Amino acid sequence: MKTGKIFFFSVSVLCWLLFASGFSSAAEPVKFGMTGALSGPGASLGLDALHGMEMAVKDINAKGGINGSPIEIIPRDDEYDPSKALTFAKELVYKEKVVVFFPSTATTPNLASQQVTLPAHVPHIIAGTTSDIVCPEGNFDPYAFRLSILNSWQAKKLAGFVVKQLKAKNIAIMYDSTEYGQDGRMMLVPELAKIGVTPIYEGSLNLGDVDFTAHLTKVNSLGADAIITWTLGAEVAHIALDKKKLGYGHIPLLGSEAITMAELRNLAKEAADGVYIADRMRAAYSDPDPKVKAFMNRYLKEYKTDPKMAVPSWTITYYDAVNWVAQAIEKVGQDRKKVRDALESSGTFVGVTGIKYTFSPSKHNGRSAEAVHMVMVKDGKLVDPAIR
Amino acid sequence: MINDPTKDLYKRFTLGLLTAYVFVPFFIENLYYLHLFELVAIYIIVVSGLNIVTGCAGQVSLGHAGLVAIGAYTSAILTVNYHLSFWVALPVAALFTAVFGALLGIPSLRVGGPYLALITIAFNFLIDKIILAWPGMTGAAAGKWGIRLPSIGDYQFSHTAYYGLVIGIALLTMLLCKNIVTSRWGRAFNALRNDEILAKTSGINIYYAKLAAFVISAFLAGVGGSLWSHLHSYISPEAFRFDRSVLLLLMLLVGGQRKILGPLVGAVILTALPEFLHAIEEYRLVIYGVALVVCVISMPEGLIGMIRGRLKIVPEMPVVPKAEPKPEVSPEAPADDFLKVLGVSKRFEGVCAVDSVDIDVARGSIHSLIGPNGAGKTTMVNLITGVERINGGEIRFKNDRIDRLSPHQITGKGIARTFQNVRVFKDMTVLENVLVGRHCRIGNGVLAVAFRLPKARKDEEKAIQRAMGLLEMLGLAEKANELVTNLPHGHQHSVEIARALMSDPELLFLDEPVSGLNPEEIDRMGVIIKDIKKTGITIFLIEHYVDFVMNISDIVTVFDFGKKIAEGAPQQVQDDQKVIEAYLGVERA
Amino acid sequence: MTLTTFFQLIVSGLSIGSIYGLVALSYNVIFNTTNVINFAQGELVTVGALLGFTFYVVFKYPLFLALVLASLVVSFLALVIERVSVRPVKDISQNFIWIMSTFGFGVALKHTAMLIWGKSPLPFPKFIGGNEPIPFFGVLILPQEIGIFFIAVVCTVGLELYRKKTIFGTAVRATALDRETASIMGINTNYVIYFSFAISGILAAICGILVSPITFADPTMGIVLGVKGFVVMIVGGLGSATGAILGGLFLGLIETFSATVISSLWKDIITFLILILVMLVKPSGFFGKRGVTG
Repeated sequence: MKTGKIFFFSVSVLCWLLFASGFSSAAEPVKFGMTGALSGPGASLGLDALHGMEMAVKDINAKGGINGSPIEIIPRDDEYDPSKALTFAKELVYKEKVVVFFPSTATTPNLASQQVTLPAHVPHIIAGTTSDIVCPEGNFDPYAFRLSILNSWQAKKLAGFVVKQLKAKNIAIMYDSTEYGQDGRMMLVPELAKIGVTPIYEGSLNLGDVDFTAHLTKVNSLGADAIITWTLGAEVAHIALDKKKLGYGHIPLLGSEAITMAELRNLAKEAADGVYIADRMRAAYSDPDPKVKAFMNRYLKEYKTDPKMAVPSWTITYYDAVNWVAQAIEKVGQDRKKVRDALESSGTFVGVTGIKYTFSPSKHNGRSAEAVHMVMVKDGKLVDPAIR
Repeated sequence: MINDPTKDLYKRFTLGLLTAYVFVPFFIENLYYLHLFELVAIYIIVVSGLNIVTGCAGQVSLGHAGLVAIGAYTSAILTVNYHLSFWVALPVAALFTAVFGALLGIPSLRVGGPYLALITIAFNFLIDKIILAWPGMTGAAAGKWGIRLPSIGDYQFSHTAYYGLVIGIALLTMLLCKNIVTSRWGRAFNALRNDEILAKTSGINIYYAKLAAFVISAFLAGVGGSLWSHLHSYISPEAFRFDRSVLLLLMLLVGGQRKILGPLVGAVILTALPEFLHAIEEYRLVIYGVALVVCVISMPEGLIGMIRGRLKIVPEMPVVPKAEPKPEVSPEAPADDFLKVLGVSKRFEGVCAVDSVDIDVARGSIHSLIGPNGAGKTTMVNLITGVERINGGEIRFKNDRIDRLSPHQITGKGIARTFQNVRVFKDMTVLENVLVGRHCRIGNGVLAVAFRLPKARKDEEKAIQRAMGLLEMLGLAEKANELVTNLPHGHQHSVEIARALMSDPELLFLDEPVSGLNPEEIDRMGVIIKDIKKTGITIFLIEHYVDFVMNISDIVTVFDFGKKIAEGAPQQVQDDQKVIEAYLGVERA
Repeated sequence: MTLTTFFQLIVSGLSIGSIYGLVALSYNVIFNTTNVINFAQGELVTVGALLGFTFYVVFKYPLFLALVLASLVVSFLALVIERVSVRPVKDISQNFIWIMSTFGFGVALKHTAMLIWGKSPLPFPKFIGGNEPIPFFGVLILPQEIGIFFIAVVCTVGLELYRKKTIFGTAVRATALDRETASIMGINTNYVIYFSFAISGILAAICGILVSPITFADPTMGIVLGVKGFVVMIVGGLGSATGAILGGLFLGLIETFSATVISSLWKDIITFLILILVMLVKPSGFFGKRGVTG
């Protein structure tokens, strides 16, 4: 009898949930679909992206939405799992019938969701992923657009910076075993080769590794005078801490855009000082531009984060992306093909902090290699380094 | 019967539901919902395989996603890298995965339980790492895309057509699995899950059976994996990690192990449920964990098991034609050498359980072994039947040495036994228990039973007839479809005897066959034993009930402290002074 | 490889190995009385670390108080696991049900922890010594690393002594060997089991807090530690405390050296290959009791 009651109860709850989830709002909203890691490790990236979108949607809806219809973001937590991303892409495209789709910040879920959105002719708006492959220059799908920077650009900037500005000759690379890390290494090595440098060490690591004594002692014994990392914040934090413990302060540490996220500075604290990072914009914290300051302060107020962390650069990109798309929809309506055409011919769009994105039929990556700026960690903040 | 109308309703209801479930998706145009149905069908295939290796054979596979990965990547590589057709890639992928299944099965021959679980987890992990380490083939972390739906000639499958293919394979899988589970192989798997030693002595080569279970499940995982690749058109290592293995196992548990519809129910629930939980996205994984615990604890039989239990549905009684008379085994010309135990010893860590014993069992006789508790009687039987290894001496059966053979081989040679503390397969019915005994005499392979080839069907029918005949002889025919554990202890022993007789033994060991029986039943057992002797089977008896032993035996051997202290005709032994002191007791004046 | 590098790696290996050993110890304590391996053990370590963070870093309680409070909570959780995931399924003949039920509890625990503490790693100050390593013949050792090793050895020795030399330890061994008989002999087997789970919880909390300064308090740390601890337990021998610590050190060294000499990718492959080899050749592990398989 007890099982019967439990069964009945659960069925009722299920029905209620079903009913509740089917509830739709009064005015027909304009639907933006989005997937990202909203839980689990690396969730900060997904959430930062979502926050950027939310801020933009709030602004637009406050002014009456797009042609009177409010924008509705439909987020899905793909936990960085490509098969989930693919399933959600199908749901968002076919069930929710979203006008545009914002894929995950990570490469493989992005690629997986592309298998659905691109053949279905849904504009695929990439504001986070940096791997070249999701929207390669010159060889892109007509429905894919990117506002973020590319790994190849970062690699070029890092290579140039380390050799020309830091005057290093013996360069070690440490990269992780995910697609992000492996792609990074594949980009770095040729860029270094172009300026006549071969890395003295290429060490692969796993996400979750906490001890880098082995790598670092080896690197030091090979006489390294710079270490370029291509992995995530927590791992670089450990590298920085171990490097400090071993007394290798003389070897500068550099990294790709991903480590601008809070983990590096939160975990490594003082040990992170002096780390150089290739970012998609100038350091927000020290940027004198009032537009940047305004956005940063608003973000800090709304999401109550640590002021030292300023605002994540991809939050800004997602904010810009939503505005850019909204503009196009305002002009041509919700037909996906028309939106795509409008996006492609949108010319130059200026984002909220002054960043310029330029699109054309031959250019679906809105920014350029010059968009990459070096920033440096100092005292828990990201600032412009003395050396550029 | 009481459950007839309910059972009818249940059958018709499930059939109706199943038909609706299968055919509705053909009319769905929404690619998203269609995707879900395709996904569920693939899960049905994989979880059905898991049902066989874990549900039936009891071999924990917590790394099944690794096998699915092998199938998925093989199919992807063959079609994308080597431009082979889907119709070639699918079977090749399945067979290749089956090979890995065999590899995975090898550790199961040595270890079980949590150890095996850990090895399967390690396997899952290793496959993941291997995929990551081989970018040229697998695309490593970036994954593999461009995996296309199958095509026939110029026509490329739409998702609706693909659904048709996948659900068709799923239905076929369920049917084949049903055939396997209800065949001698299914019984063998269940037997080895219940009691490995008993399974061995009943004539089942459990090593082969375990491997078979792994290979079958791996094959199905490979099929599922291949279908998965082509459904998603993009695969990467994340899809095949430990959490996927756990999901598969959870589907099996929720639906119900060893139930044919279990995988379907489990797959549907666990694929559909997340759909309704979007509102509480944040808590989804917490709920998942809680559900796992709740399900495992309060619903061990799964949903289907619970429903069937409520409706009191029991397995069908087989159509039983008139039972065949017991075959008369004409005793061959009496040979001197039947069973010879020569100077056999067995030590257990310093204790000598059996000490240089010689026994000569004559063909066609009833030979009894008596002695105080702990004298080594059961050990002796264990040694002869291969359950224990001897430390010295030789055992010969019809001039062949058998002391180095494994139990199932010894059973194959014609020696069968029952156990002192009655051992039966607890999860199975009386009839199924008895049928297990026939395993070593039917030669049908897994494929033959899966496809119910005529020979396999006939052999099964004959076996059932034989079993029913034996049960009738033992007065247990009406209890054939009862769970064996529902029977009183003494009757369970009779079931054991029936099982032992099914393997056509020439020598039958009965270990305390009348313990737990009332005087009437003891007399009956005496008659039965004499009847068995009449069919030419030699009987070796261990008993404590001295009157019974003395009445029925031709020769009596007496053990004390592992040594033979007397042997001869019953009267002779009864009067032997040593025997009286050690066992029979001195009359107080 | 220079001699200094070699010894530096040894220090690293022993340090991380001590952690694995501690985790394996906590598995062993439960296994010794119930023949159950708690698949949520890793998450108990995680929760211990996170609680330590809250008490020590956020509330700024003294370290010892933080340790005690964290141990109390984690012990309580361990007892809940016993009640909810282990006791109800001990009698079911299926030998893998408790794997699922303890694992499920672990999943729920981990994600609840993530809801409370967030998903990112949390920094934890080194409470044994500071950030300055001690130079020792050219090899740099953090005081925290020495502390971890020392405490791991103390716990091992303590447990072995308690098991072999005290009456209560004998009661534990009796319960493990034959619960029914132990019960008939007057041992309250239920209490023995509760006590074991509680001790396991305390060990998990200590482990979590001890290692957090090195690895950071991270909701996902449980899986890795849990699996590695499990591997160590098998390799060192189920039920053996000495095996746990020695196995842990062994694994830590293997990992560190293979990561350097070969690569990080291979370090895990090698670990699991060793596991499979041990399982096939000597399933009871180096120090385990024979005949404990299956």
